[in-house]
Amino acid sequence: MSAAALPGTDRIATPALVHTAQAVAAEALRAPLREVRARVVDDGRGALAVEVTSPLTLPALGSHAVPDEPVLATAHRARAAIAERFRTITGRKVERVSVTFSSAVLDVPRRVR
Amino acid sequence: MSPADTRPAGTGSADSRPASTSDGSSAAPGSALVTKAPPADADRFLRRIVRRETSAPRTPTVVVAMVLLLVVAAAVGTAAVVALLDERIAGVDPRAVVDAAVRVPAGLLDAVVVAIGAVVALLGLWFLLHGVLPARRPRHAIRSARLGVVVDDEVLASAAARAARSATRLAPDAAVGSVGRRTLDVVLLPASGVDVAVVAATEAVERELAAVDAVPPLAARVRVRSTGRIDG
Repeated sequence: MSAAALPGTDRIATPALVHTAQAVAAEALRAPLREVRARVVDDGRGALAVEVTSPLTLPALGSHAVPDEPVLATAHRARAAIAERFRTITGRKVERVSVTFSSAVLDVPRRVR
Repeated sequence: MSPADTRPAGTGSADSRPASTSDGSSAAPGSALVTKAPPADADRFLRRIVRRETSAPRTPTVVVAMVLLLVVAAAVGTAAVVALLDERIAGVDPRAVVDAAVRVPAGLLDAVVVAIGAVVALLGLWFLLHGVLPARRPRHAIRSARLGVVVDDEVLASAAARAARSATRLAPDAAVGSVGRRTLDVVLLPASGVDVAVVAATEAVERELAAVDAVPPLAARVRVRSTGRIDG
C-alpha cells in the first residue's frame, strides 16, 4: 500500500469530465460522438448534473430495425446508464442527467466487408 | 542537556521535576536554576511578554491624548502670559474668552452647542473604548516548557486546513481554515460528486489542535460546503 500513502492529490479537470460525459452519452444513446454535446455542472447539493444534447438516432425506415418502444423510454434507460458509467469511470456521483434531442440522424448500418 | 532530560519537562509532568531539583539546588546553583524553571506559563515574566505580543498596544491612543493635552496646556500658558502682559491676541482679550466660556450655553446658538457636545462625546467614547476593549491581536500563545511561544492565527488556520486536507486527500486549495479567539473553522470545498470523510477530517483537525495546544483553547469545527466544485 505504498502507493496509497504517497502524498499528492488527483484531480479531474472540467474538459476531461465533459469529454467523458460526451463519450459515455454517445455510447449509451448510440449517437455519433462528434455531435454529442455535454455540460457538467454542480447540482447545488454537492453532486454532478450532466446535461447532454444529442441527436436522435433513427433507423432507416423499412430496414426491419424500427424499435418497438418509444424513443423516450429508450432515453429514460440511457440516462441511468450514462450516470452509472460516468460514475464508474470518474468516480464522481451523478445525481441528475438531462438528455435533449436536438436533431435526428439516420442510423446507417455499417457495411459489412 | 540531553534531549532525554528535556523530554519529561516538555510533557509538563510536575512530579518528576522537584525530585531532580532538590538534589541539584545545593550543588550547582546555575544548573539548578535551569532545571527548576517552571513551565513557561507560570513564569510571570514570560506571561507578561506573551501578553504584550498577543494584545495590541495602547500607545497610539495615549499619544493622541497627550498631544491634545499638550495643545490645551500650551494654549492656557500662552493665554496666561498674554493676559498678564495686558495684551490681546488678534484683538481678542483672553479674559473675555474665559468669561464667555464660563456662561457658555447662554451666548451660543443651539446648533453650535449640540455640535461641540457631539464632538466631545465622540472623542470621549473613542478614548473610553480604546481604554476598555481588550485590543487583542490575532495571535495565540502556545504552551511550552522553555519558551514563550506566540503564533499568528493564520498559521494555526493553515495548519488545521492542512491536517483536514491530508486526511481527506483533497486538493491544496480545497480546505480553508479560519481562527477566531476560541473557535477554529475549517471549510472543505470538495469536488462535485465526491464523498468527503468528514469524521476523519474532524479527527485530524482535533489531533492537530491537541498537538498545538493553543492557550485560549480552540474548539474545532469542520464543515463541508454543500455545493461542490466541478474540477477539484
